[in-house]
Amino acid sequence: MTPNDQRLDEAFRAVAASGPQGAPMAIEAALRQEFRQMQRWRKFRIGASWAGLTAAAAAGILTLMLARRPEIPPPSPFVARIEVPVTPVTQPTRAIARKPVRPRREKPQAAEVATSFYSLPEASSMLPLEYGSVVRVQLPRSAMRIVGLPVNQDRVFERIQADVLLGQDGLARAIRFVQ
Amino acid sequence: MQTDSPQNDHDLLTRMWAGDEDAFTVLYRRHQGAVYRFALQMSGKTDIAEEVTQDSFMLLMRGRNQYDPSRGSVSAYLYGVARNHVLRALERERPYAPSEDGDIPIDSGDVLGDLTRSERIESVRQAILSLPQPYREVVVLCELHELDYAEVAAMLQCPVGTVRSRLHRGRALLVWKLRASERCSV
Repeated sequence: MTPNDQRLDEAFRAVAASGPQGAPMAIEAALRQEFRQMQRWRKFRIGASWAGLTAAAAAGILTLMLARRPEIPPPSPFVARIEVPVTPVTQPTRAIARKPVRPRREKPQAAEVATSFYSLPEASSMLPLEYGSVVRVQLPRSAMRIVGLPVNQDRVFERIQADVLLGQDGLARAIRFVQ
Repeated sequence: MQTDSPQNDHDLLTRMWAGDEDAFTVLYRRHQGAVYRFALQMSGKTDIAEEVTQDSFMLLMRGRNQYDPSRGSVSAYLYGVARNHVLRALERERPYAPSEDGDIPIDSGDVLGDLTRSERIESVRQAILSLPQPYREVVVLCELHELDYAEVAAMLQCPVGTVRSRLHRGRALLVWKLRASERCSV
């Protein structure tokens, strides 16, 4: 080791020992303050996480409960099944003139006026009616003639609503007109 | 750093991350001096040293996922963080500093011979600050902080041989600079 190296080593020791040996106290105070804030935020986050988990669990349970409920099929807007007595329909009867269940409408409308069901000409040759469906259709007014109703000649091309009673075989048995 | 007790430091870190402020205080008081002095000796500026100290401990506080005990001690981690912060701060302040990495003239004359103690300290301090950064950090870590070559090599992520050669060149540069400044002052 040269004299210069020795002097340099001594100088290094002197430099290391001189000057400030640590950071000002203000830094420690600031860091501890920051530490406390971090802990508060951490606790808040943990609390928020638990609240979130609880809410998620509650939502999950609710979803499961709703999913397990027996499903009620929505009513068909145009088709309703009705049980009718097992007798051949030869004449319009009150028994099948019963109004079918219809879906509730949003807006209150004027009450419907419907004729009785009229048996269609071919219905007597069909299988006895065990159950049927009523289908709402639109027809030309001239269709009223099929069951012997009078039709104004001037309005013969206008369209009119009708309920058609279909049997279990899907064939039309009777019809009524609705206004 | 004053005490290098990885096990204790690790326990303190675990407690600190669990929210124990006292553990943080003990860790801070144990290591802040070294971090602050390193930053000051590297930059020569107290504001940078304070900023680096604060940032380094903030990172330790928040760096639960960044510090890996298997890769080194807490002090090595803090030195590494402080070094990065210092280099960034110096880059910010002196982006176009010239590099003095040329041949070093051999000077066999006596250095620091005629200076008083305080003058000598100040001369050496200024000479260290004027060293190019790769030599400066090795001189600061090995000579002023008395860390061994292996620790410094791990911190700088370079071979031990590189640390040795940088230290050798750094010392030679210092001798040359000190002689030069002495001649100027005469």
